[in-house]
Amino acid sequence: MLDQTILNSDKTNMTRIIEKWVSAIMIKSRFLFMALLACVSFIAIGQDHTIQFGYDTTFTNGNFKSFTNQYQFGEGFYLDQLKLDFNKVDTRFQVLASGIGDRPTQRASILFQKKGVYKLGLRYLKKDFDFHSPEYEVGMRDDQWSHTQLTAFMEYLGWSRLNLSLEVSQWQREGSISRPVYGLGIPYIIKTEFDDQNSDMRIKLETKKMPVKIRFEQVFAEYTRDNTYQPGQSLIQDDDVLLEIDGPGEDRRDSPATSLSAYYESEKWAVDLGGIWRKDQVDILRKDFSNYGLSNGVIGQLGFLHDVTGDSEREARQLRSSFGFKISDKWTLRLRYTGFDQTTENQFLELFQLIVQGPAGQTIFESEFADQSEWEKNDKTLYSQLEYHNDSTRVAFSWGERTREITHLTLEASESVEREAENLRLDVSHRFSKNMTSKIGASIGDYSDFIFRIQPEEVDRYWLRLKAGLRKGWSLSLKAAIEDAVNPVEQASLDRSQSQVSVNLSYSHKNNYLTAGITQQSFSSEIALNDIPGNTVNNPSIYDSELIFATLNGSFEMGSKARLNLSLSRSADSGDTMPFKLTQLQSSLEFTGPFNTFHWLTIQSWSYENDVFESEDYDMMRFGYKIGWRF
Amino acid sequence: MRHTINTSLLSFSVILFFSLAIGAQENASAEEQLAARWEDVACFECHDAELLNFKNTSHHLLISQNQKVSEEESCALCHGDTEEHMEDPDLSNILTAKHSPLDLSRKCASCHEDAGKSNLLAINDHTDLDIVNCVSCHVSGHYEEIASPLLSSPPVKLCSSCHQSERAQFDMPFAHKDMNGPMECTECHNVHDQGELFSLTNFGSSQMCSKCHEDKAGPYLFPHAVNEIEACVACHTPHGSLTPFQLTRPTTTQLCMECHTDFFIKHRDSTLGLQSCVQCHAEIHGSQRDHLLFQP
Repeated sequence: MLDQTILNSDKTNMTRIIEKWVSAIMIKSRFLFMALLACVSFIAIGQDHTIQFGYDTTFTNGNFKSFTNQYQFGEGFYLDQLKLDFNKVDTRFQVLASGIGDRPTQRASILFQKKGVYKLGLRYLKKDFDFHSPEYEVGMRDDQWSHTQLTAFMEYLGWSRLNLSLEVSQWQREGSISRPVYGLGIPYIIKTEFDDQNSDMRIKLETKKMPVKIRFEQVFAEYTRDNTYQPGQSLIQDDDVLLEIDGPGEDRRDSPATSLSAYYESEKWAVDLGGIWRKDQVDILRKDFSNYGLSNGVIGQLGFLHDVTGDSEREARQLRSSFGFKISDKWTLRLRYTGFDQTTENQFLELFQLIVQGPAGQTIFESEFADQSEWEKNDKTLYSQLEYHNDSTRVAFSWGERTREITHLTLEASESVEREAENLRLDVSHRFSKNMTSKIGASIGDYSDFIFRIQPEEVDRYWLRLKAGLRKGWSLSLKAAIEDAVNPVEQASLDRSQSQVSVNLSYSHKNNYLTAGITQQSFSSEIALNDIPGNTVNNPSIYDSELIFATLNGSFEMGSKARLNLSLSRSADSGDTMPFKLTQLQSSLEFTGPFNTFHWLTIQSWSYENDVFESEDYDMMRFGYKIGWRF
Repeated sequence: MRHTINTSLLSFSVILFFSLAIGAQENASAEEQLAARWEDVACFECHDAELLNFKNTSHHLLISQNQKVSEEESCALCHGDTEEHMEDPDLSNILTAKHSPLDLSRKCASCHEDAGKSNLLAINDHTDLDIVNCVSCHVSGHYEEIASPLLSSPPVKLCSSCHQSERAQFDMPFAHKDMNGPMECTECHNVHDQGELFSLTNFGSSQMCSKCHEDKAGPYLFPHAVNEIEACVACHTPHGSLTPFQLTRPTTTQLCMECHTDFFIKHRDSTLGLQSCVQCHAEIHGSQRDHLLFQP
């Protein structure tokens, strides 16, 4: 991605721009050249191959950081799509790639398939993140990192009774994040360089053509983190400066997991039983040292050594059973029970040293602390549904009960709380004709006790959906839903409501279509913060959003060789929390050229207005050209 | 273990390319013979264009390999009895995706037992075939797939045709976007409702998020209780939000204070005043060395 200085033309130097662009073109051209070479080599064996690559350039007016926070876009040359598909009757070799070059999301895959016998393949995914805290948010975050995932997989389908899948995957994160870390009475900016890796191997066995279908899956995963720190400027101007920071050492997590399930279905009934077990074991060996200069080091230095040795072990088990029974042609009974149990045990030994370095020499104050704790979460859910179904109508009545028990134990104290929930739900759907369906529903939920004060005591939901295929290519869909949640005044006086209404109208004729939609969505939450000392009036925490989202999408043939695609959307939030307006236009003219080539000219624009923080506003224009070749 | 993974990846690549070399030996004559067999089927006297498309689909191969079904009978597997249709080529006497999506979906379920089983067991809208059926999202065997597996549009487009309000949330300033549009819905959601039981990656909502946010998966020596109990969605909205980090409230501080009502008591003498809580409590998801969640 080119940096902002290039995009703000008034600040740039033309020579530098040309140098950077030439350099970018040279680097990205290698990708394109390799892709082109691969295509040429595939011409000989023919079938369905496509290569598309393009170039985009962007012009900004306003806050470019605000745009990049919301949209992760690259700029410059990129491979839009590469598809080499060698698809024969019994074999298939496929290469897919997209985004290689100047795109924040890059994908590639290779698949070789002996149909009905085996599949072999590789998948590659890379995502770049670029985020900077907005000026109004005092978090002072600055993220620039990427994660890459490479997966190799194999499926063997050749046995008569069993399918086998193997997968090996590696995830890696690189880059850095700058953010405040609490130091000598004030927060200091620390830059953390990432070095995280996760590797996992999984094996899956699945029976086939047997009365009882059994699946077994085993995963071994290992996550390691060996990040490093660098000191930055303190967030608040202060004479005491962070001179040195070192640590934190490597964390390592091992996570084996096992899943086993069995499924049987007959004309009359079906049953599904399964269980999952997973364990996460983290070993912590940490030694951090930070050193501050008092009055820029003139008075002396203050060092903190923090040495932690411990481990954290989380074990989770889930047991799930589903049962379905066809009482008659029109009546069905379904039952589902899920039990989930998670225990996390922690223990550690902590050594803390305060090292004071003054004119009189060095003094060390030392303390040691050891503790252990345990978290237990136990969920039980029972759900039942009775359904009536004839050719045009379906009525389903459901009842559910859920309990959650939380226990927290330390060496000195223990706490335990249990929350219960009961839910009733009714769904009615009716097919008026082959082209017109409707659905209405309601759900009422009651909860007891509170684990967190903001949790609801009652939640009610109602919804309606209508879908109609009208005459001569027109179709209409309507959806509406409301939800209300409350809890008592003495708890947190929670009052949360949300509603959604969507209408979509579409028209299609031959290869042309036009769709118009409008969605209105409101969300409002109010929670009392009564515990503020000296506060005599209710001082609620409010989140209020009133969003209207309107879209117009169309695709039209222009003669036999060209097509115009248009997409216009407008989002406007008029709630009290963060009102904004966003208008987006995506348009492309697609036409065929000589030698089986396809061409796209694209114009995209975004216009964002933040009604509270005008400094976040931007207008963005993006122009692109893409060429594709199908052979 | 990392060494093992790298070795496995390398070995895998070698096996893959060795297999490619073997697979490249195409059996042209076998293919021609197969094509000739299909051309004799009476249906294709009128529907020759459908045959051209059908030849590249996996349905074609499966039917060709099935010794119990002749090519003549194979069309009837999906389209029902064809005899009447041959007498009178009216759409009302044959099953098609446009004409009777519900009935055609029931035909699909007779082979695709994973999708079919959800009719008896699962409890969600995607199993109510009146509302959503197979051909709402999947192309039949005759048409080119736009996205895998046999989808008629990219997943986001398909999902948002019904889930418009969820689509709208992705256009909020801070959302899980991929380039200009929403992230693929299927990266988190299992549309056929078999996820929890069969896929370990779907094991609890925090495990789902940690597919990308691996560093937030824990467990932590000093966990943030809400993360341990309610997981990510207690504070974040997964689709989109008005505020950075997709929070459920305008600011981090406001979000924290809803539970931590003793904020003013603990910070009465603080010179920091009402600043962002995460300025100091930066490791808000949990820490491996600090019970106040100041440092990682």
